[in-house]
Order: sequence, then structure tokens, then C-alpha cells
Amino acid sequence: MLNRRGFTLVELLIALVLLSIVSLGIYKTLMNNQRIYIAQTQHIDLQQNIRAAATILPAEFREIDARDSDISAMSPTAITFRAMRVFGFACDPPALGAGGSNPSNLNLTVREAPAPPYGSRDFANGDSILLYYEGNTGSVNDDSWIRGKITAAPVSLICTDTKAGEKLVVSLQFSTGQSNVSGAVTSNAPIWGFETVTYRVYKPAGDSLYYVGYQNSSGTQPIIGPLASDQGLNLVYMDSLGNVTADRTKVAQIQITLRGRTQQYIRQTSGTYGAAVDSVITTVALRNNCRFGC
Amino acid sequence: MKRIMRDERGMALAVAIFALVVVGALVAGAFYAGTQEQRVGENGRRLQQSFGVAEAGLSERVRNWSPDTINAKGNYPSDSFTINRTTTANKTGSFSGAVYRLNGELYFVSVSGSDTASLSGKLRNGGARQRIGMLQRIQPLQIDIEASLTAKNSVSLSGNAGVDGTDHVPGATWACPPLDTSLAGVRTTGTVSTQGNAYVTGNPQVKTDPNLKDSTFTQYGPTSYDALAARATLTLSGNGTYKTQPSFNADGSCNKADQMNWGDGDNRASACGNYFPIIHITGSATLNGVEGQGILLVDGDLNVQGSYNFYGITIIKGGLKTAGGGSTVAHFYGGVMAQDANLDPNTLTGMATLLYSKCAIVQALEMTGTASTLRSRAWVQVF
Repeated sequence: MLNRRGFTLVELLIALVLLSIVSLGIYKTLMNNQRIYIAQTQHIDLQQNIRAAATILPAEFREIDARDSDISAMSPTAITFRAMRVFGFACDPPALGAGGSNPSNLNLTVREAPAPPYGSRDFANGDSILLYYEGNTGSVNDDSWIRGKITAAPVSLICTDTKAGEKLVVSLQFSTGQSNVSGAVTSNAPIWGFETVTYRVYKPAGDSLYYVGYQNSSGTQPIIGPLASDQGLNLVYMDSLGNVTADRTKVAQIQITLRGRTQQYIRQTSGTYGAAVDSVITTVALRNNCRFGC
Repeated sequence: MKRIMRDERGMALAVAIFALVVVGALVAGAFYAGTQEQRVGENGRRLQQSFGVAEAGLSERVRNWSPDTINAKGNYPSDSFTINRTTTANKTGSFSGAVYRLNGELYFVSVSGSDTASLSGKLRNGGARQRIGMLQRIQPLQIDIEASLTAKNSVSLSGNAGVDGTDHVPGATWACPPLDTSLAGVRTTGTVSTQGNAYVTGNPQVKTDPNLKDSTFTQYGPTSYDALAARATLTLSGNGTYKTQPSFNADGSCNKADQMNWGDGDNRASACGNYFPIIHITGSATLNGVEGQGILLVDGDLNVQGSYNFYGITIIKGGLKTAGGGSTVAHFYGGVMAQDANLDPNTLTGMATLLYSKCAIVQALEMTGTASTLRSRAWVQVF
């Protein structure tokens, strides 16, 4: 018991100082690790963002037919175009011949089997469509697409060849060079469903950062970002010769430059804090542009 | 032992262990995030590579279009042509798929491509695959056939020779649509003379067409005679006498290596029934039996002796001479175009008949047509 006298003040002070030094070291280590962790995850998010841009935007642009006026507006930071959403085959084409160049309430049946229509979704009421116009089977010069619209909710219907199908009620708009005559649309005619969408630099309400916004009839939502600035998306439109063009119908390639930034500030190599910036440049060729003199 | 325990009174160990756990968790988290990022990156790269493989496969399939196998398929969805798994030339992956005949003019090529790593089966998530499609249009020959016989110069018929502009079904083994309206028997800028039992029928019998030009015989829309000849399946020298008939390999398949095999229009159900070659004879020639089908191009004169059946389109730069023997008949089902035509049997009992058949013409065009990409909106990202 005589030996249990407690600590002297000097011992306590020494212990406290040592404990402080050790704690400070641990704190610094932890903070350093956390900073590295945050920086790494921010970099990963940034890379995933620009990777998404390099995947999503080219996939959307590839199916554009600029010659057929798919692009309705374009600028370096925004593009509005017909985005193809669904593709199928009409097992039973509409009965043509009546209704002039704008027939309505036509029935056509789209195959549901053996494979349903391809795309991100099925045909739906209100969809805009493009129906393959064969015209003269002996000539390729009149091959084109009839524009139209689905005017009623699709319902299941068996094709005349007994395969499963889906009846679409459509109105069509025959354009120059297309005749509303029987046989102009053949069995198994391809049919596209599309919607008009806009990709643009977008700053959501209440947010100080810019994103690539996706706009359709349902509204606008950010899908890629944040961007380095309001110029973080730069689209360059080129014709088939690779020259920059302002003519929407002559676009054959689109160069996409996306400069993204991290959501949070991270420590830079210079020791200061700021948003890290990374970029991606890719060029996509429009696969569906009309060729052979049309 | 007791003494040692007594000396271990501090909390250094506990603090060190705590710090190690926290640091370890952060490091593990960073490693996990890094690994995930690496996987995402690799998947993205595989996806891009697979996309390239699929596009290469699509291009390869279109470039090597085989009319006599693909064009002969039934319409989608009852039939299809399978694209067997093929490795790309640069070994980056392989592709497979199918060609669907939508109708007589339109085809849909669907190709799935995967990169080599994805195909190895060693990837946990099964790897990447990209599927794309392309609409192909048969490039039609726009041959201006408005009569059973189109001749630039005069036409003379004698014996029992006949030219008929009424639409015909070539035979019982042919699947044909309902008969079309009748065409003219003969379309020419010159004169038509008949002797003996020779006859011309059609609507009208003779169509005198001053607009008939040399190019009518040599230019078929965007395709010229020479271009068509360059695509010939069979090229035969001139000044020969040929006996053509279907021949078969030991396994029963059609022997397409045989230059004297011009398909089997007499029996479309046979193994050579869908074989419609483009035959180019680089001079004058004589046909001495038995049958053929497809598109026949003759740089010189064509002499037909005795019985012969040809189904499809015949284009002759020189003259056509037929000489029937006995009661046998030389039949040309489809359409014949010749600069000169002298259907002049040597014997009174000889017979040569040119019978318009839209079915034979259409099938010959379809079965010899090569595909080209649809003018617009041909490319489809298939999910």
C-alpha cells in the first residue's frame, strides 16, 4: 500500500504531452487517409461521369439521320433531335389507298414474336413513328420512310401468319415522292418509334453546378455531370468530309468534348483545394444518314 | 506472470489497435472502390471492343453476301440464314447471328459480337456482348422488260416458233404469285415477220418502240452489262457448244463447281432448284440441251438447238437463233432481250417459244441480287 502513492504532477504532464503527440499523429494519419479516400472516390465519380458521356451520347447520336431532318436544333452546348426508341417489323401493313396524303385510323400489326420490338421500350400511344416505304419494288430510288403517329393504345393481335403481334392505330403523312397506294408498304416493313429529345448544358434549380441535361416531354433531368463550367459540353458538327458545318441536314459526324469536374473540392498536387477536372473527346459517325443521292 | 500484467497499465495498445482498424477500413474501402472502378473500366473497354467486333461482323457478312443461299430463304419469321460464329480477322473477338429475309427485297442482318476475353468464359459476370442490326436491300436490276422479246432490230419467225407476251407460270414446281397482266409479244424498233405457223401473241402483239435504245440492252438502272458480267457466277468462252443440266455432289447437294450446271428450273424442289447463276458467255455459243436458269449474258450470238428450257432473263448482244428439232421445244420462260432475233427453225416441225413469265424474271432477279445497305435508317442498335 505504501508503494501506491499515485502520480506526481510531472508524471501527469509528461503523460498528457505524450498522449497529445500520439493523438495528433493518429488524427493526422486518419485525416490524411480520409482525404485520400475522398479524393479517390471523387476521381472515380468523375471518371464514371465522363465514361457515361462517352457511352450514352454516341449511342444516342449513331441512329440519327441528319439528311432527313432528324436534328431540329444544334449548338455547341445543346442538340435537339429524334432519338430512336423502338424498332420492329409490321407483319400486317396498313391498307393503303384512301385518305389522300394524310390517312388516319389505319391499322397495322407489329410482330411481338418470335422477338418483340427491339429498343428501350415497346410502342405506345402518342409515339411518333417512321414506317418503311417500299414504293416500286424494282427501284431503290423511292425507298424512304413515312412519318406517322400512333393514335391509340396498342392492343394484342395475332398476325395473319398466326404469330403474336400488336395492333397499332396510326395516322400517316405521305411526303413528296411517296404515294398512298396499295402495296407501297410491304409485309415485314420495318418501323421505328422515336421521341424528340434535347441534350444540353443544364443547371438545376438550387444547384450551382452545371450538368448535361436530358430533356423530353416529361421534363429535364441531369444525367451526366457535374461539368467543369457552362461550356463543359462542346459539340462540333462536321459534314462527311470532316469540315465543320452549321447545316443541320449535312451533319455526318459529331465530335463530343465533355469536361467534367468533381462534386467536391479535393486537394490538388499544388497543395491547394479545388475541383479536379477531367475530359473526354470522342467522335461519332451518324450511321443512318441517307446515302446514294437521296 | 502477475508482475508482467501489472506493468501493462497504459492504453497504447488499445489506441494502436483502434487506429489500425480505422486506417485498415479506409484502405480497404479505397481498394474496393479502386477495384470496382477498374472493373467498370474493363467492362467499358470490353463493351467498346465487342461493339467493334459486331460492326466488323456486320460488314463482313454484307460484303460476302451469298445470293444463292441467303436469297433462297423463306420469309421471316419462318426461316432464317444462320451466321455461324466467326473470329474477326484481327482476332479481337468473334461474332454470330442471323440474316432474316423480310420480303423479296428487304433483309435484316442481326449480328452479336463479343471480345475475346468475354468469350473465354473466365469472367465472373459473363463478359460483354453487343448486338447490332442492319437493313439490307436487294439492289434490283432495272431491266426494261416490256415484252416477251425485246429486239433492237428486225425479228423474223418461221416454222412453229412463237413469242407470247401472256404471263406464264414456268412449271408446277414454281411458287408464283397470281398471273400479271399481259405484256407485248415483241417490242422492237424494226419489223416483225412471221412465216408458216409462227405466231406472236400479247398485248399488243407487237409494240413498235422508237425509244428503244442501245442502252436499253446494256444499262439496267445503276448497273451496266459489263458490271453484271463482272459479277458472273459462271464465265464461259465463246465459240462453244454447251449442254447444260443440273449436277449433284455425292452428298446430294448442288454441284456449283460444275460449269455446265445452270440450275434446275425444271424441278425447283431439287437441290439445284434455288441455284440461279449469272452466266456470261464471252462470245457466240450454241446450247444443245438441257436446261438452265438465272441471268444469261451472251456477248455474241446465241444459237439454241433442239429442246432447251431456260428460266429467267436472257440478254444477247448479238442475235438469237433457235432451231428446233423434231417435236422438241426450246422454251425461254421470262424475258429475252436481243439486238437481233431470228427464231427460224430449220425444220417445219421445230418449235421455239419465248414465253413471258414475270415469276421467272422476278425470281431470277431476286436470287441473283446482291444486297446493299438501305438508303437511310438501316442501322439498328439491337438490345
